[in-house]
Amino acid sequence: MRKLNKTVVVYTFLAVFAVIFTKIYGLFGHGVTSLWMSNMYLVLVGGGAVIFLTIKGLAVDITDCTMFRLFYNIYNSGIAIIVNGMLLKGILEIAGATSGIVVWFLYIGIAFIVCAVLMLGYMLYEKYYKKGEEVKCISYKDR
Amino acid sequence: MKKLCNIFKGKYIWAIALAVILSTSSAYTLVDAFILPKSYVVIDNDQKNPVNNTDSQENTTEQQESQNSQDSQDLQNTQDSYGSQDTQDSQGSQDSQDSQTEPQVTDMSYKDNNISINIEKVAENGVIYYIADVQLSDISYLKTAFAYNTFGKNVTQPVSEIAEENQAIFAINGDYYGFRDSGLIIRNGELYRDEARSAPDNQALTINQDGDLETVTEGEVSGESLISSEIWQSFSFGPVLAKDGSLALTNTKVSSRENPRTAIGQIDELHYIFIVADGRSNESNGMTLSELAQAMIDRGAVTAYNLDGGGSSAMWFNGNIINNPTDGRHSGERSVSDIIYIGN
Repeated sequence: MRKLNKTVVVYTFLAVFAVIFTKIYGLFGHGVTSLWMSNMYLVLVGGGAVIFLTIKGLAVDITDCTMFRLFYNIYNSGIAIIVNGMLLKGILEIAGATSGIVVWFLYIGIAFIVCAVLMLGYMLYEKYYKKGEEVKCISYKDR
Repeated sequence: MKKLCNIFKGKYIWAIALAVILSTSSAYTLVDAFILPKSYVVIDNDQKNPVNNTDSQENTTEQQESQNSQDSQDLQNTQDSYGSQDTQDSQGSQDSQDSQTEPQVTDMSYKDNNISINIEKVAENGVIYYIADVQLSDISYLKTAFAYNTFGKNVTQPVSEIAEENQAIFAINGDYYGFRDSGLIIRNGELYRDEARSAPDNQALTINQDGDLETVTEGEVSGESLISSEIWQSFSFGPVLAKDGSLALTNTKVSSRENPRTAIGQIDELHYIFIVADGRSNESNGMTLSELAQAMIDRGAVTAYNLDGGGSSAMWFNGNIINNPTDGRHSGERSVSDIIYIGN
């Protein structure tokens, strides 16, 4: 649970940094802005801080599942790849350029998120519906 | 040392690997978008015929270099005065050239049998801008050229160099098509790119073989259909400044910032107006798009279109850049992908 608190704080900090970065970058953009860059913070807040607050508020604790570590890495990587793609798209848009590569950051990031969400669903399923049976979600303490 | 090794073995390995992959791929994306030159078509300068470039990039660079040296030699012979511009690539204007008399050239004007150019410098409301009024006898005198005569991405050259290599009389920067992967590009009657930009910046400017400027919505027309309807040039930038003699700007947010600007407009049959506004300097603040559109309309433009601005904005005449190009940090010409020029 402490890990989730820390994650929420880090995402909030990154969202604030994204807003400041966008404002400073805008000073050099001669009035040209990009929705992709200015909305980076939304992904960090909505996809990062809010999601981990929600996981923390769940009735069951999934942080002790062995799969949680993998979920955590994949989910955070997905968010990082998407935000990185948005930043690049913003830089290119403000400069008036385009690139066919940037969209792949978004596709790959979304694929990571989808994988992570499936893993989250599986962990919740194991915790909620198989309470009476042998718990596959072995905690670190049990090992 | 053991601790350091543990970092790479332990829970941080994922984060470190991701950071390395993201940094590398981001750097490659930016280098690919802004720096790496890619040539798609090299144009035979003598015949102005495009030749599909299937060779490697190195091969293209060699061709560019050899072309440049040859062009430079040609220029040495032809650059002394406009009177010696009995050029070979007349494209349909050969007959009228045969009877051409000595052109009258001043610092701000040019006149011969087929081309009349008058440039006016205007300083008002903290803005310095240059208006070129151009009257032609035939649309073939309004031409375009690519940097190094190569259609590609990130292939750039200063306006003055492209103009001199093409023996132009007058030139402005074009739409900087090579900074983007999309946008309908037809130049001198040849289709180079048939990929529409996405809305809302998808209004392209076309010039047909009668010399009339029209705007089309990319995506609603194809490059092939434009070629079959005898479109001579197309530019993919925008926005449209004026249409039917009225203000055509819709996005007021974009138009509200003062910047260096370049625009092309049509007043009448084969009668054009080009405006280049300086900006981002102590001498000139630059123009908003609304001001640019109004300047076009005030001078009688029926159709007007915004081209690439900022540090790209440059007007070349009589062997010199006559405005003060700057991107706000560095003075001087920026290398661009293409120019619009008037030449025999």
